[in-house]
Parts: sequence; structure tokens; C-alpha cells
Amino acid sequence: MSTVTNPRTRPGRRSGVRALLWQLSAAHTDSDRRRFRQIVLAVAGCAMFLIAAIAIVTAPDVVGRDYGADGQSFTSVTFTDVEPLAPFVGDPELRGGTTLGAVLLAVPFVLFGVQALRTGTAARERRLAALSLAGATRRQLRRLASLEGTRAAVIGALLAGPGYLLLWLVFGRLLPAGAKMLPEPGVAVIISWPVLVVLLTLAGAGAGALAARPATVSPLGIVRGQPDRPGKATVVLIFVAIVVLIVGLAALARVLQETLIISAMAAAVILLAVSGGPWLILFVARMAVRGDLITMLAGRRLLADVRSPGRVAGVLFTVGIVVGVVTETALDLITRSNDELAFYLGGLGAAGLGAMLAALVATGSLIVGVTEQVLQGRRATAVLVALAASTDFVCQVVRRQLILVAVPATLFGVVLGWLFIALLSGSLLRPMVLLGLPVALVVSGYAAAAGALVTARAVRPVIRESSTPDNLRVA
Amino acid sequence: MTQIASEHPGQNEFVLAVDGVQHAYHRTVALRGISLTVSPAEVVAITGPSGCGKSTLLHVAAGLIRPQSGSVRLFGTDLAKLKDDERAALRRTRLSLVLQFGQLVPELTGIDNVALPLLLDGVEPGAARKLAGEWLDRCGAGELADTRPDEMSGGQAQRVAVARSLITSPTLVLADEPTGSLDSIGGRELLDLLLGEVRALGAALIVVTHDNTVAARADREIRLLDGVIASQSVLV
Repeated sequence: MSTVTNPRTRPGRRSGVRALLWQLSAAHTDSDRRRFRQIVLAVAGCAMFLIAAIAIVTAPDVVGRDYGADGQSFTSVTFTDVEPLAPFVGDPELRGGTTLGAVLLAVPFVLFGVQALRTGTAARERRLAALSLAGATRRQLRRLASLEGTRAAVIGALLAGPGYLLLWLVFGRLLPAGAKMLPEPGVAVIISWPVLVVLLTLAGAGAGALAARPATVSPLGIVRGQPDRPGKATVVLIFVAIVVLIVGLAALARVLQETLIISAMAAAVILLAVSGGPWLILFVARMAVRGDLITMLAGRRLLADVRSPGRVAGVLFTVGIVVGVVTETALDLITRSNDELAFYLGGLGAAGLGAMLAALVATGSLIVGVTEQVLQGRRATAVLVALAASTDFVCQVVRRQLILVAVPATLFGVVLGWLFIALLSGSLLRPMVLLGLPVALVVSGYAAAAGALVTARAVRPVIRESSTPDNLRVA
Repeated sequence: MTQIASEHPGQNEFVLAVDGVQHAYHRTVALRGISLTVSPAEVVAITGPSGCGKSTLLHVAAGLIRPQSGSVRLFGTDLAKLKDDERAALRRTRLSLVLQFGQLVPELTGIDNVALPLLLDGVEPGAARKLAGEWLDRCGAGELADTRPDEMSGGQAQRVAVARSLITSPTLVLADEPTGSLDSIGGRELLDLLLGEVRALGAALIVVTHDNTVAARADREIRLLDGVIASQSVLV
């Protein structure tokens, strides 16, 4: 037997630890690589719309107003020596709202990113637990998780620059004069890009560490615990968001388009979407468990993890708000004056397009979340199929689960968006506008259900795969 | 930072002293006032039926779980006084674990898995891998140096796990059903390896097992039942 000398007595080099953590932070498996791509996409999308918001807020004035002596009446002046932007971008009085729209479009990407960050949690927790058992400290595990987030965030944020140029080509350069939604990239865009790269990289590092928190807390990895529930702190966030929205609404009624108020309200909508989603799912799931067998099982699956579907519900809630605002405004304008309709049509179209994009991202997020849940619960699925149920039955349960996530959140958002803008414009009790609400609810409800069905179709192969007897033996 | 007691306990010191430890998972009580001591170089088998608290006791002894009451002294140091990073440092140096499924890091090759505790401790990678290669050879797994865990059989992964647990020349090795995933021949070979190397190092070994043949080769058997010590027997 050879004599083995422990080299610990020699001076250690920390670079070895760094190299090891760097090596481990790379995507090794197919699911790792899929997760990495999803995070990159999310960060790139988020950064792209943040750059767009910065470009809009710093756009040149195309329209000015000469106010009369009373301070109320004014004459619009159009400047011809600047880029011919759409009025809702070129008019400084309307720009705040458009900026808010661009910022809100970043939200679905943030939530998609969080969803992607949490995928593969069980396998990653096992890996981190193995490292912990070998003697890795919590700091080392946190650094590893941070590095995973950092790698994806850097690439995503770097891709946002070219991504924004593409966005500008489509929604700026290629559009006719007077309809351009994005101004030519200027100094603000050039400066904001590297700044966003730094900020989003830091955010990615922090989010990566937070997502791995359960594994870094216990060296045994997945700890035995109670079902995941939203924390009580989120109630405070929801309360703050509602207060900001009410105060903002009151302030906007008097001083329209104040950038500060718009920003605060954007933050409030984000807060409400992020923190309220899991609570909404909790409420819906508790109602669902009283239903028939399929609804009850769908409700139980939701109760097992309300955060993941809660994030998607948050996005769909935001989409619902936009749909509510757009349809109410459109109906109000149609029934009020055709001249104003022509003026706002571009903006409404852009908002509708934004809502569709957000809905698409939300559907993607839903697919990622449900696929993850099915994969994590594959033993339970296999047991269910082995004991009594058919694979089709499990698919029905998942479909019902997806409808429970998508439809109530969207409808809730539509009602809130509708009420918000109707109160603001004073058109709440106008019969034509009021009649449009049920139509909007039915249309958006069906659209949300269609998104859920598309998602159910997408995860069907994973469910079939999870139903095989091989999965009876997985951990 | 809490000072960890002497590098090697003296003849009269215990490597592990558990006193009145109680622990429960929500409403399920796993340990009910367990007390035991383990001397240097002693091999102790902990046996008992499923759910009697064997693994929980091992995790408490390793400092992976903080018991709800009672004290655990490892190498003379009260674990409750150690911070998480200090307990992690113990797992890199004087204490090591072997679990039922090896718990290897799937992304790393056999040699890197064995070198892991040293690499995490800041040892120069070349030196760490050289030593890891030597330990792989000693454990009869030299050919697995460049193999990833998903390409290894259960027995091969366990050999690599044993090499990883011994590379730091620990004072105490904790093993939770180390032969549980292996067939009888593979299990016997692994046990021969583990016991042989542990005795060669002069380390103490606590092994949790269902297997009577494993328990029969220990110096002492502690049998747990419903979270309490039902019996103890000296086997040598």
C-alpha cells in the first residue's frame, strides 16, 4: 500500500476553488442548456424593452403646446426639423404613458426568467447537496449559484443591444413618418446598454443565489417541509401596490402624465403582479379542491406549488390590465369622437401588440413551469397511472390546472384595467362603454383558455413520458 | 470563530459524544433523548428497522441537522457553537460521509469527485488530483478517473465515494447504508474496502445499516427502536 501524503499542509491556492466553481457553473446537461437558453432569452427580452423605454423617454419632442393666458387652452405645434415619431412618443405629454407600456413589457420577461431559473431545481439541489456533503461552504454554494445566473445574464444583456436595433428597425425605421414608435438609437441608448449589462448581471447573480437558497440552507438538499406558500411579506407588498395605484389614480386625475407618478404606478403594477399572483392561485386552488374529481386534483396540484403558476398568473394579470385599458379606451374613443380615435389608434395598436407579446411570453412561461412540475412529480404521475388512472386522465387534470391558472388571472386583470381607465376618463357609466366589458371578458377569457390548451398540448409528451413504469423507481 | 479542539483526540477523549439528543420532523419524533459516545478508531454499527431514527442520528452526528435539544460534541467541540462554514470545514477535513447512492457530483469525473474536498479547501488542483488518483487506485477504482458518475455502476460509484471520503485522512467516517444499493458480493467487497482503509487510517467509523453482515463486523452494535437505544452489544 502506498503512503499517501495529504497536501493540505502546503499553502493552498484559492484559484483552484474559483476554477472548480466556474467549471461547475457551466451548463452540462440538456436540461441545463435549455434552462440557460431560457434565462438568456428572458434577460435579453427584459433588457431590450428597458432600452426601448429609455429611448422613448429621451425621444425628441415632435409636438409642443403653446398655452394661452388661462393656462388651460393651448395650440399644438408640430416641429418639422426632428424625427417624425408617432404622437404618443413625440408628444412629451403622452410619452410617460408610452414609457410605462415599454417598462411593463419587460415584466413578463422578468417573470419568465424567474420561472426558468427555478427549472431543474431538484437535480440542481441534489448537486449542491453533494458538494455540501463534500465540504463546500454555504458561501461557495451561493457563489456557484451566482455564477450560473451571471453567465446567462451577461450573455442575455449583451444580446439586448443588437436585439434593440432589430426592434428599432421594425418599429422605428421601417414604419412611415408619423407612425415611428421608436426613435433612432442615440447617446442615451448607447450609454444605457452597458449600464444595463452591469445591472442585469448583478441581478442575475443575486437571482441565481436566491433560487438555489433551499439547497444552500441544508446540506441534505431538499428538506422535508410544508407545501410552498407565499410569504406574509407579500401581503405588505400587495397593500403598498394598491395604495400607490389609488394615490396615483387620484393624482393622475388632476395632473396627467407626470413621469414620477407613472413610474410609481408601473412599479405598483409590477409589485401587484409579482406578489399577488401566488395569492390568487392559492385562492383559486382552494376553491377548486371543492369541485369535481378532475378540478379537485388540479387544485391539489396547484396547492403543492403556488409560486410557479403564481408568476405566470402575475404576467397574465398584467396582460389582462392592458387588454382592459385598451378595449375601454378604444370603445370610449369610438363612441366619443372619430378624430381622437385616429390620433390614438397607433398607440392602442401598439398596446394591443404588447399585450399579445406578453401573453406569448406568459404561455412560454406556463409551458416551462408545468413541464418542470410534471418532471418533478413524475413518480406521483406514474403511481397514479399504475394504480388506476389513464394517461389521458392525467392530461385532463393538467389541462384543468392550466385553465385555473390562466383564466381567473386574465379576467381579474381585465376588470381592474377596465375600471382603472374608466374611472380616470370618467366614462364608467357610459352605457356603450359599460356594455363592452362583458364582451372583453368573454373574448379574453376564451383567449386565456386557448393559451392554456396550447400549453397542455405542449406538455402532453412529457406527461406520457412521466407515466411509464420506469418513473415508479425515481427519487 | 470557535476554536475546534485538538487535531487528534487523545486516548481518553471521544471523537463523538451525543447527549440527550431529541429531534422531530413536524409531528414525527425521530430521536427521543439519545446518548452515546464513540472512541477513536472504534467501528460502531447502528441498526434498527426503517424509521427508527438511524439516519437522523447520523445526520445529527455529522452536524447536518441541528437537534431540537441535547448536545453533540465532535472531537470535543460542541457542534451547536460552530457556524455553518465551520461545520462545512469539518466535513472537508476531519469528518467524512459515505451515503447509500454515493452522492457524487454528476458533472465531475471520478478523479475530480475524489479531489473535491481538497479543491474546496483551496489545495492546488494538480496536487489534489495526484492524491485523488492515488486514492482511486487504493480503492480499486483507478480506471474510473476520467469516468463521469452516470457512466459508473452502483458499486463503482460507491468505491469512488469511499475514496472521496478518505482522501482527507479523516478522524471519523460516517456511512449511511453504504452497501444498501449493491448486490451481496459488491456489498461485501465495498465493506472490506471501507473497513480496511478506515482501520489503516486509524479513523473511527459509524455505519448505519440494515445488513446484519455489516453489523457483525463492527466493534459495537447499537440497535435503535422508535428513536431510542433499544440495546448495545460489544462484538469483538
